[in-house]
Amino acid sequence: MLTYVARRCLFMVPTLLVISFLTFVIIELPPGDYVTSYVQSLEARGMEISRQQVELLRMRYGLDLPFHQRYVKWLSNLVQGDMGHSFTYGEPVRKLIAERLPMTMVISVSTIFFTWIVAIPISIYSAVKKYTLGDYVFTFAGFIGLSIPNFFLAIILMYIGYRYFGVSMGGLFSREYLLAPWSWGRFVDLLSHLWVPIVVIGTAGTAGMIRVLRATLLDELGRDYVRTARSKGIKEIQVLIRHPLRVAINPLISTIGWLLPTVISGEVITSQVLSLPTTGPLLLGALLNQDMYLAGSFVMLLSFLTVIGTLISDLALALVDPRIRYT
Amino acid sequence: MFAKRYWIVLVVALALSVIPAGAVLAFGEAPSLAERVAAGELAPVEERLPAEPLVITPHEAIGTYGGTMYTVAENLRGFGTDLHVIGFEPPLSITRDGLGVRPNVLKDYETEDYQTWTLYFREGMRWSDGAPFTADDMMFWWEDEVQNPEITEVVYIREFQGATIEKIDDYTVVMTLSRPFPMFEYTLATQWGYLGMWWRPKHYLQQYHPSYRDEAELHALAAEEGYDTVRELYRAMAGWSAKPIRVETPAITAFVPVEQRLETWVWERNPYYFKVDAANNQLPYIDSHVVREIRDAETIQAQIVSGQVDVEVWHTTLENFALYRANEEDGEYNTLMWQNDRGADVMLLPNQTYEDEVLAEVFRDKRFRQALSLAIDRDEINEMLYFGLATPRQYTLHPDSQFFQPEWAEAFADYDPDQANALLDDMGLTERDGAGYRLRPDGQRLAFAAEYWPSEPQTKTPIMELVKDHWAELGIDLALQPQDRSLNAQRASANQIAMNLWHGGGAIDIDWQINSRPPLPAGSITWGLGYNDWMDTDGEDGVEPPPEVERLYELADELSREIDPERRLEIGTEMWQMQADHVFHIGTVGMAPYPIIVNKDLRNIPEEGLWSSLWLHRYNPEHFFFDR
Repeated sequence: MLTYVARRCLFMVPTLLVISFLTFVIIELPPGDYVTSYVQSLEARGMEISRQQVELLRMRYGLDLPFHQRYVKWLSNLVQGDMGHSFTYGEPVRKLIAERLPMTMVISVSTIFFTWIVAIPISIYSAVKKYTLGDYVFTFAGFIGLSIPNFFLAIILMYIGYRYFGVSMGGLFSREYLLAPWSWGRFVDLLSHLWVPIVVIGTAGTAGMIRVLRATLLDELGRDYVRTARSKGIKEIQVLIRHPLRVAINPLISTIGWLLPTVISGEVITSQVLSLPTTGPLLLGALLNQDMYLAGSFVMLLSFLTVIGTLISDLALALVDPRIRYT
Repeated sequence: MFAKRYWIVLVVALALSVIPAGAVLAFGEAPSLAERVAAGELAPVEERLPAEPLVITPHEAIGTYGGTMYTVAENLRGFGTDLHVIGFEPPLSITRDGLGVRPNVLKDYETEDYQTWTLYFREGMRWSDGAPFTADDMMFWWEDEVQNPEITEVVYIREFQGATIEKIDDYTVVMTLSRPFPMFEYTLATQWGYLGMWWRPKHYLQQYHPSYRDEAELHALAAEEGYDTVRELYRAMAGWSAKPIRVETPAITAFVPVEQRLETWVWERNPYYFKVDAANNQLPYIDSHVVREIRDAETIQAQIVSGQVDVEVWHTTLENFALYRANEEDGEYNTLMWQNDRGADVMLLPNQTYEDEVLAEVFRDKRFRQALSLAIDRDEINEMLYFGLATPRQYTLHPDSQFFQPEWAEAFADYDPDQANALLDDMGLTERDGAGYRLRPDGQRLAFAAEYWPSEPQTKTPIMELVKDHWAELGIDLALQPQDRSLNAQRASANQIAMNLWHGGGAIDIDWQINSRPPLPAGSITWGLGYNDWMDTDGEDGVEPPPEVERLYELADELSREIDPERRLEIGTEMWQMQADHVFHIGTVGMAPYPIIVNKDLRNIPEEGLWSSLWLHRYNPEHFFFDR
């Protein structure tokens, strides 16, 4: 197994190299650069920038260097753990991401639990009682959850929250609690804002998971070993949990690794609409403003976590499912 | 209109103001500061204020202390102009009517030839940490920042090139420019003052400056703070970087930052602020100012109508006017309709130096541009998209401008498709293709695209959809290509856009003269980039301007150095007369009202103001107060 892990780790290096190159190229692809968008935003506000000043700005940000020089500089810094500086914020990328991480993780982790807590019981119910009224209702609700765009659901929930519960829209706190020290009131205020993103982000995931779990469970329920277990007189619920569910959960485990980057990146569009202090809007803003190093380093971080996560998934799957072997 | 007690305060204020000079005046201060003085933590208000504080005449009333003002910003640490609801102090300030200048940080200034400027500082004025604010702080900025190649690569502000500054005494400097700049007093009052220039807290920043500290030590410090170079470190500390405001760096503004959280910045009153009201109460009235970051423009609308924002000027739109009005009661705010400084909300810029020579030739013919303008049904645009609240007009100055002539706004602005068609026929564009479109001189269909960035204002696309139909009546095939602003900027600067769109902002006196923007083809989004290149490179690059455009450049150059006000008026009049005759910029509707959201308890904000990019400063936001 150790050899297997070592070999997988070795393969990561060229993978990440290719990703880093592609990332840099794709971020460079759109026309213009950070200075173009900066100058336009100044002009939109009525300031006057001459061409000479534009060139000067470009020099200041090191954007006058050719592509390969910038790439090599960025990559060599990245290898040494320096993620570079953001143009927009004028601060180290590492700091910008780090200060947004706690809230991002709170939201992501709660969303994951929300998804599991809702999806697993529903999918079991749907599979066991397939083609009943309850199954149809859940299936229908699931498809709606899948098909409504997240940002739209967010807007609707924000409106409901404001109209019927008097909760202010956007952000995680009402303005009275913005600066207050932690207290019961502030915690309740946080919860009253937090449910919206969790429900919104969780809905799509829940629906997808219900479909997958239900399908695998249905496959397994007809198998011989289930019939054998039943014939031994074990209670139906125990049959379910001990045998087919263990198999059915494999797709969940094989995607567990992808949760890693999700936890860090949050949900971009929903966070933007709800104005959450998470990393999602940071990435979106960086891409829109062509804030090269912020966008590039962030994408690299996510890629790294995806690669690691995939490895973890594979290992976990092998642990849970004895049919899988290392090769 | 306002409560009785303000009249009493006003009477007291008037009574105080007749006390003969030389008598010791009692200064008022906020209760929270008085407590700190009593506790011995702070010097008495008399010692904190300069010998001659700036007296602000209230717009409505003498205020009462207290309250927190909440606003929102789209990006706290980005380009961030929207952060500055309150918060910059240029050397001079624009008067409330927008036509002249008045003292601000500087007590006074003198100039005879507009080349040598004597600037007077306020004796006894202090930074927010209590250190004296003197001419040395300006000298530090000039000698150690502007003139120091280690900090500033190139001095790129026109007025600063070849200029010198000399310190006379602690409160007087003489600035000598390379040539007379008649608009320099306005420069002192607006643009660059906004960028927080003109001075730096020497006592604080010298610890980060290579001239005052050992280089090796600085390098170590820079590395520790996460900056690559000493220059980056200095700039970050000075507020020259993308994050313009630091808690630690002393300031002279009314509010100083005390806390900068991820999504919330908190500002509190500066106990050393140099302004008082007419009753000698130290400003500002409001205790603190909280700015929250709301990254989505639509969510900001939601914040506004749910009453979470006390003042909003950047993110309001006319389209949402009905929404604002409908929620006024629940949100406890008022929607004020200010005037806009835009001579045209959207203007069309047919590119006279476009890369397609045949089309450029057509655009250069003024009859063509006149025809395009005459074919636009401006009343329809106004009724359909502006609730009839804007003014259908040709692009020209705002009526408040001293240069303004009413007939300029009417030039080729009437809807007259017959005359438009006649003009095109007169040009010889009489051939048509099977679909009824006119043909260009080379036999191709007369078709081109408007490529533009669809925001600011958002009405660009709906307007152009109407214009497309109007022009189809003329036999012109217009295509619409809204595009991302970076793509638009890049294509514009590569001269690949046949017709761009922009807002005609800053069409008031001081703004247009400082920027010398329209009617010149200045800036990156314009109708004659090739002409600009020609002028910049003395004819090596670009397109040679036709006589009328060359005349425009001559006039602009003369205006930038002419001192005599009468001659200035003549020059400006000739320039704008040319815009009216030649229709370089094609206007649609202008002077659309601009909604401003103000908490219903907030006072001293004018009901009718003029919105411009540097909008609030002239209304002295430091004397807003809550009447609760």
